[in-house]
Amino acid sequence: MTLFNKLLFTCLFISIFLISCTGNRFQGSGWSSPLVDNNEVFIATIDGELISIDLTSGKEKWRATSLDDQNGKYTSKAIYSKPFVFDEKVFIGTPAGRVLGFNRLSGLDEVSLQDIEEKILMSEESYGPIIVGNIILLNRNKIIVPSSNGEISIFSYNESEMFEPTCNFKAKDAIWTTPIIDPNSNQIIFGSMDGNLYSIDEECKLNWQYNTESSIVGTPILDKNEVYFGTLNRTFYSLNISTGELIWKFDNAKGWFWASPIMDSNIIYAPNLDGSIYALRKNNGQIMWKYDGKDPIVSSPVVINDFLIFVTKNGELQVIHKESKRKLGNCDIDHKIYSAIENYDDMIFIQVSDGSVRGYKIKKNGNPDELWAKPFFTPEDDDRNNEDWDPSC
Amino acid sequence: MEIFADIWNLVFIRPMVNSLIILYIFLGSSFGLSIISFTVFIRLIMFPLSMRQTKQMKAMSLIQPKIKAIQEKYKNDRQRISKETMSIYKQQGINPVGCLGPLIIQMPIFIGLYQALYITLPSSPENLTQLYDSIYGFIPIINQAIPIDGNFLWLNLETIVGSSDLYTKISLPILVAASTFLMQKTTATPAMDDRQKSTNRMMLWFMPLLLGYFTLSFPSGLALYWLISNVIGTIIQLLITGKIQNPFNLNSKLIDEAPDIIIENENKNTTIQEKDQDESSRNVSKNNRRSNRHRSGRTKRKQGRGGNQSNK
Repeated sequence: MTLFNKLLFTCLFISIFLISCTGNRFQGSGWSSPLVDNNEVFIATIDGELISIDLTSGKEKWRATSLDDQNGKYTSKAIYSKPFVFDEKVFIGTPAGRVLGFNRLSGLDEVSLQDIEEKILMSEESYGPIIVGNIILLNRNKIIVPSSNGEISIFSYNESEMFEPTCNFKAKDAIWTTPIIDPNSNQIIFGSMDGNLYSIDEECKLNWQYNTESSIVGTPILDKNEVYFGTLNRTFYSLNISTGELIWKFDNAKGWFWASPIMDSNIIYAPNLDGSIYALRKNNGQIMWKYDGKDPIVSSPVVINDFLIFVTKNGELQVIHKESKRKLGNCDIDHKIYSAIENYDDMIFIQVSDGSVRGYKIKKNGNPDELWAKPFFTPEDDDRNNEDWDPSC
Repeated sequence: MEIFADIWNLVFIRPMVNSLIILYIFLGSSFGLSIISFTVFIRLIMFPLSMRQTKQMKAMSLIQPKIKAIQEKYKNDRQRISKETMSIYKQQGINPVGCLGPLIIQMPIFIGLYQALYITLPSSPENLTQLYDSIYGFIPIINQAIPIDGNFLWLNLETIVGSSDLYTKISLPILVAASTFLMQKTTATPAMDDRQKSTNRMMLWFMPLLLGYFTLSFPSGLALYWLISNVIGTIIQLLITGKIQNPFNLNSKLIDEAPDIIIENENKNTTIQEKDQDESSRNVSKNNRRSNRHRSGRTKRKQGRGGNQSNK
């Protein structure tokens, strides 16, 4: 073996070793759920783009590309935050900690929150500063931006169509949950990876905080005077939103409460990474039943009519009857799914980590019927565009 | 294939991930200290293997002249070369894969640790769900410790080195490259011919540069592991080879256990072991000398057997 061959062999061996050890772990797949508004589906993608799709036909209307690649400063990245529509514009929170607004008809760049960019942008590779939770509207003229650097920032929308910073609140660790607003008291409630559930007012002053001693990833839900949320310590809580005091807790789950729960007819459906959905009584937290989906559930489920619909991490869409707990239909998408299901009438829309968005109509018997599957890869010569996109179920 | 992945996770990944997290909890929520202490622990566990590997490599390098002589002598008869070579290995009690054996055993541990670090410090939010698959969730303190705080000294252990601040971007690759160079330098076996010497020299520079370059693409936590692993490896190697004083007489132990190497020249038989003894006698204590005297008896007996064999 010559010297050159030895060097070549060593180089090859180290490369294979390192690649096999690391895989594509640096590539985030994002978990932005699609937004359906006025017969349009807006999807913020794995490749860092915002796409508008016609709901009925699945045809692309426009695409805003490389949201984090302006001036060659940022690399495009997967987006986690769900788009939101305000003042005929579509807004998106990016992995570089920026909020961008686009004309909803043309997709042209209209509003950029430079203040947020300066404040939140810290690093590109770490997941520290990215916007993971969804940005929400407050009182029709303000937005609340959660960031994984632990800051909640409130901005007001002025007459010149620009956002101005109003106030901010800093938690001890990242905020991945979407803030929720109590319509009666206007208090803003959110969880943090520091283990606290916080309540702040419109001026970012702390009302109360409740320490669970474990990270909160899933967005809490509100009902009347109570807030419900789960933690990574396998415990589900109910708190009084006026005082922040514990009402009940459920701690018999076997895995992390990762995804946001939902509520329907006084029952809380809490998905868990142990593969189960726990049905808990709203008033006392007692378990009514649990359904074993046989695979971790990292995305939030939906209820349509009598059906509880959820997807597992490894890509199985399941429809169960919420009374009988019978499995009525399923669909094997066969790719990882992290994003929450978006519900519109009797249709659902899911972003899949293979780089596609899928639309399904839930039939009266509970069977999911695929409306369309839309890959959104760029450029056009991407091999994945040539794959077979026949309906998966 | 899935069953192999499950076994791999069960035997290597899960124990490593959970050990790292438990160390993190007990070391004041410092993942840097957790990586350092875990690397030290792993290196100590594998110390007997490292020692055995060094011994075998040393023995292999010592019989190289004889192998070369055989290759010269029977250059047109490959079968004979292989037969004679095997006979030498057998005669000297060397297992030709003996050098690789410990390396092969160590490799899964290092690859496992490498993967465990990736899982414990996820580079994207959704990768945190992978950590769930690897932890012992029934231990409450482990759930409470997540997510792991990746800050250590000036480093953010989950940040890619190439995207970190200028200081990290420069210092870590240099430290990794320098420690790899030292490690290479201490483990390199003496070359017997010019070609091998030139290869060794090339590898001595090439490997550190390559690893220094690769460091830019990995999280700082992995670079820290690489660095600590190299430093400990170098210290262990220096202890084994007797280049630094050690309280355990590891060098004498190595010499005691080394196989006796007999080099057959055209006219006379000499043992490399004797040369070795001369060299080592400069360094070792009285106790070591006693042990060498004891072993020289064995050498003489073997010499006799070697002589008989060569006469046949």
